[in-house]
Amino acid sequence: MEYVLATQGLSKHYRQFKALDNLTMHVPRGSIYGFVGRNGAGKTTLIRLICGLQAPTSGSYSLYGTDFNQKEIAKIRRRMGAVVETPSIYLDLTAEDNLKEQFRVLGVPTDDGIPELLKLVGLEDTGKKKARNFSLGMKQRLGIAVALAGDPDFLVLDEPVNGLDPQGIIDIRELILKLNRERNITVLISSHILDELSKLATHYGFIDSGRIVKELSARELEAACRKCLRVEVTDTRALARVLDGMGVEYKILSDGQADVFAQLNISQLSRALDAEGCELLSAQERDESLESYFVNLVGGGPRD
Amino acid sequence: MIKLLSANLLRLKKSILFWSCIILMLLLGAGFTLQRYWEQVAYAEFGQLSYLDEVLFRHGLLIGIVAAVFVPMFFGMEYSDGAIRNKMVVGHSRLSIYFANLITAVVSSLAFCAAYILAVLALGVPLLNGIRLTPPQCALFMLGTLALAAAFSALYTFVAMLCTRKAASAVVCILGVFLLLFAGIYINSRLNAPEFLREYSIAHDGQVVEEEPEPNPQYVRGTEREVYQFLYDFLPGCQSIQYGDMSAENPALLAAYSLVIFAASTGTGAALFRRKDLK
Repeated sequence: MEYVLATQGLSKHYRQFKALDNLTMHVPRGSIYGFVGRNGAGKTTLIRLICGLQAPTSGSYSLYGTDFNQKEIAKIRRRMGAVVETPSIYLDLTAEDNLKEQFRVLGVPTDDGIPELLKLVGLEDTGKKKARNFSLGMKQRLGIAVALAGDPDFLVLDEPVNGLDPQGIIDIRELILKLNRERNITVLISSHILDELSKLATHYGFIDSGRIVKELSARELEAACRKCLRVEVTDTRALARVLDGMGVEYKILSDGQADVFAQLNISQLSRALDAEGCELLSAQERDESLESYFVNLVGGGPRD
Repeated sequence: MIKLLSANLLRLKKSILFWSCIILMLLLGAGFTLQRYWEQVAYAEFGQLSYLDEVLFRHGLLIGIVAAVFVPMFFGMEYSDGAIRNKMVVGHSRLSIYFANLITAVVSSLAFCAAYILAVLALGVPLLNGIRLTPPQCALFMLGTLALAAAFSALYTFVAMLCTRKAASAVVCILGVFLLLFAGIYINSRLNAPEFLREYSIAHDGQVVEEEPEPNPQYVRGTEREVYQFLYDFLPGCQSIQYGDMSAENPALLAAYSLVIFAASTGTGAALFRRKDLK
């Protein structure tokens, strides 16, 4: 698999505090990578590092296979766009002037692409209105437009829906999906709004205390969060024989526990197990959401 | 860096603050010239003459203050609005960002000086008498004031690039320039203190008698005087005072000191900015 971003043992320390601690992660090309973690887990620190705003204390990262220490990284960054924390826009300029400014920064020879960009983010009718007078959602969309000015194929968005109203959240979600599907832009989104992220992400990275706890695809996550019946029995071999006989999918978790991925008649199952000399001790329906998966993964206790 | 310069100049063109400073310098140039003209008219019976060079180089006194407001506000916006990130994310090096901003600061300061000079020439040539300085002296004074503008710009760029809070960097620059100007006034008074104090007394018959002159305790001598003189020539605020009252005796030396300040602050600033963690 080709990775747009790969980090190897990346660490960032601020005096004694370890914001990132030996973090290793991989963002596949073409994915929408949901970077999930609590406040202070290290999401923004990682984004600051990969955007070149800060230097790692140790470890390394590569963009499109180019190590951050190599000279060529400057050219590679030209393929990147980012909105880190707040939208990076000049508040005393109009939307169009902000894009003109970024076009100059990038050395784009003409301003011809500006109307199309403004249309893409739904800001084509803002005219002479200064960015200072934009709503938060409009500022966020302008920030994304600025990030898209260089026609990047890797977009980094740090908490893009924070503080937005429901319509603003929908607008940003649709924009991200459009960019990913129509322009094949790889997107790294950090967020702690899991419900929103689950509507977008194709891959996930869970971060806690500066470390990646788990990386998995949306499909793998879906399987992990699949609705199932968790049963506890005295003999899982007998259970396997019964379930095979019923032709249902299951997963043995331990000597006495298994997950059954089907709607079962408990009385029928109990009778069938009884006939095999096995007792059904308990049965519990499980429907894990991304939220509960995250809580199980990083622990729901208080943060230190 | 050309791309960054182009972006900075585009923003400069649209900056209300920049055009306000230009207008302010035009007004100050016009104001000082008219003031000299009115003085000439008012004291014509005493043969008072006002010359163009009395006001032509006064931008050396003003540029430190105007640039202290403009530079940190203009570049501080890159931090307050977060726009500096847009430059770094797309691969511009920190050095090129620093140097592009420095050049922009110098260009703006020179534009402010040009606005002042333009206003003085536009009104002064028809209203005031000519320039008493020789053309080479005039060129040296001009070079000196412009080098001073560049030195101030470099110092303020240093502050604006290393202090991420716009208001704080503006306060530091404005307070700094006034401290430097006050230092200039103080050193000027120490250096111009007379070596001896003359005392007079009135005799019984009502006649004024001049006493033996006494050494002035405020007069600085020897190494101390050399240090004061060096600071008076070296510090930008002190140079401003010298250009303001046209007392600069060696503008070439002052220009050389300005270039030293420019190089030292830029070298240190760029090195520190390279290592700075940005948010």
